[in-house]
Amino acid sequence: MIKLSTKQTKRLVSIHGWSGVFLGLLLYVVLLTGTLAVFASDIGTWSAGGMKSHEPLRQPLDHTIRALAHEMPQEYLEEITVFYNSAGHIVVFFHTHAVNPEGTFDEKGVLTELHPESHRPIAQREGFGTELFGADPAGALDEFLVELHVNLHLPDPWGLYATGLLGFLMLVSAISGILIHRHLIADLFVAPRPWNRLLHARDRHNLAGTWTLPFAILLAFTGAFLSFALSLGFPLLSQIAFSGDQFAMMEALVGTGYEENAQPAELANLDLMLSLSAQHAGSPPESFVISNYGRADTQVIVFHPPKDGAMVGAQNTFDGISGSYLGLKPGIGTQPSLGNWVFELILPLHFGTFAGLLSQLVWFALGLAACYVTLSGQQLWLDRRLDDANWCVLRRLVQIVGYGLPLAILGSTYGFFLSLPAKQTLLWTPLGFCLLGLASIGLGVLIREKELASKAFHVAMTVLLVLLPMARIAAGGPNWIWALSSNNVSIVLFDTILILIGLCFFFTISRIKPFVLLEKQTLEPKAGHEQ
Amino acid sequence: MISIRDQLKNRSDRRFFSDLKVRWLLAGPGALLGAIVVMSAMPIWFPKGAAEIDHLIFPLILFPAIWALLFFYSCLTEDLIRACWIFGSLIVINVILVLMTLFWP
Amino acid sequence: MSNDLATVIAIALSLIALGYLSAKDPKRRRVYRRLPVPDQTVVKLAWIVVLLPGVLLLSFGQTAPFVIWFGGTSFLGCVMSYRRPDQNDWVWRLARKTRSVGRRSLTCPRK
Repeated sequence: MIKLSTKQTKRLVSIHGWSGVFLGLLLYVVLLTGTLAVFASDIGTWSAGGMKSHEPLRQPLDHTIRALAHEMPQEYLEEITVFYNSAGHIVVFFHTHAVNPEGTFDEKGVLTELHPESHRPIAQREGFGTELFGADPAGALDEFLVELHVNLHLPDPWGLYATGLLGFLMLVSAISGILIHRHLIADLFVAPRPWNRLLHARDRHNLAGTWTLPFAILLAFTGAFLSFALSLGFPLLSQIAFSGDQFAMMEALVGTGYEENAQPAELANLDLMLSLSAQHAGSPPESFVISNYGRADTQVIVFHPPKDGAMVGAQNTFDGISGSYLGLKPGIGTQPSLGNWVFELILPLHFGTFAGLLSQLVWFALGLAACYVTLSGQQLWLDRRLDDANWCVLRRLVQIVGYGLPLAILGSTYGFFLSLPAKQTLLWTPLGFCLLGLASIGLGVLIREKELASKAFHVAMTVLLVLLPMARIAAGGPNWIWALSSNNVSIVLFDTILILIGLCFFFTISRIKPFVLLEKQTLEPKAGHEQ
Repeated sequence: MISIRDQLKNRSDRRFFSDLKVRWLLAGPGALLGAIVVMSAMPIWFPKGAAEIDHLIFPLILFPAIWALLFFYSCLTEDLIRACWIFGSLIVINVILVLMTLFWP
Repeated sequence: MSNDLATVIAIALSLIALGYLSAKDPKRRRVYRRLPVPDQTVVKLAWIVVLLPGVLLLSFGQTAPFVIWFGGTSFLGCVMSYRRPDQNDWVWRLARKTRSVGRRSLTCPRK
């Protein structure tokens, strides 16, 4: 352990405490939404009513892409991105690169949504990428949650600055926590002592904080990097290294790796390239990009999720004209490098989706633990100032935000489902969040007794969670029989988990008691007792 | 009876730039500004690496680490004058490097 | 053996060792007024058992299972330590019962 003087320790304790008190609740918002965002794609599939087809990019696509390209303006053939959305629909985005009205570097083109089996167009929109990708009514719920985590729904770049600073706060809390906790290893197995309120509050904060410390530092670091790299670092470095040309910097980072040749030429068979790519990668294609369609320098890059046991997915490159395999392309640059290795590792470590359900479950659990550390830290601060009336407002606020945020998220889910038949989800998802958020504030303010308010919050959570699967089905979502018969087991699993969590909230209502009721005589251990 | 140490401390508290204010300035805007200018100047001296992208990607990755280093140094140091010199020279040197690249490429 | 299964087994192994460490931890025993364990040699061995699955996963190049093992063991280790010793007494009762049943079946074979 690093030995600190009393003054230094006092300073760090102040920083650890005050920063948590002032910004802890905002950090809790980012942490809880981030925890849910681990399942963003599954939430998207669940809310959109399941996947109509599994592995949509395994189907023959060559003919469809050619037919669509035939109708597109020449400038949009510069790049074609193909992927599938939450509902399993194939999305084809023909685009060029341009600066949008906000003055930032963007993609501009035509986005077409196709049925995964018949390849019949479902929707077609034209515009800038930033507008087009947020305009899918079926993906409004997962989009809303991810945006809340990424930028708190604040305008760019301020939202990213805010979450980046919250990442810094988390980093400060975790590192200062190590430095001020003198018995970090000795207290590793000390269960919260129930016979003293303060000891209990301190033990539980320390215990959860210590065990999840590496994860907290990892998440804070990678989160701060992602926020500031996009909002601050990228524009700054492009100014210094490329005289402000963001496009040139993007070219240098992504790396084209081919000689320019504008002669007209025919694209090789796309389906053969996709199946060859799947063989090389050991996993099905997730998306692919065709650059310079219809030219002699056409290149196809196919993206794959990580194969079993790996952290990082694969990007296979093909010569678009001959259809020959050119090899693996690094995520950054045109050849393997240390920078690319570190960068490729950061993304899966932050998102937690690298190994399917198992990694998602672990990241979800650790995210919840981080939320617990934040709230228990604030509770500890307040418990130490129990007789100080000045802290009454924060005490209320911690309870309102602690329960109110999950309630508001449930509100957004209800808003989404109830407006799905009318395709008004883009409006009602955030509105549902605000309405339930306001209701939580009202509940917390009106019920003055803390234990009673907690019970009311638990009842509300139970009712909303148990009724949610019914709301989903009532809004036209698939029932369990269809879901099971069409191999959409995750829908049934999600519904069941929601009902179970709701029931857990119900069964814990009876355990909400003022702390003083935990009798010292009954819980204090007897001396000399042996296992 | 007030000790010399306390007298010195009181004198320090009465100054406009008391120790506390200086520490706040260093740990707050100082650390942030320091991290931004170090990141901005890094592409100039950082090795480009095999794919010629390391000098662009490492400043972005290391930004939170640089900030944390400056923040904790300013919080833990007892010698604030030295800290001011270190922060000042770090910022000035890196700003000069950036300006030289921008105006005399 | 699939990677997921290997990861789950690795986490389970580490958790068993962590459970032993938790039960024999000097501070936990002192705080909950239980008699101290005089011999700490097995404790050191238990720490090796905790870390061994991770080392093995990494040495076989299984980076994703290693990261999941690390995160999963941290979380479940925290949950396990959160329980008071008196809440875990059923484990020891079960262990004692199993041991006595096993001994009885060995010493008094059925005719």
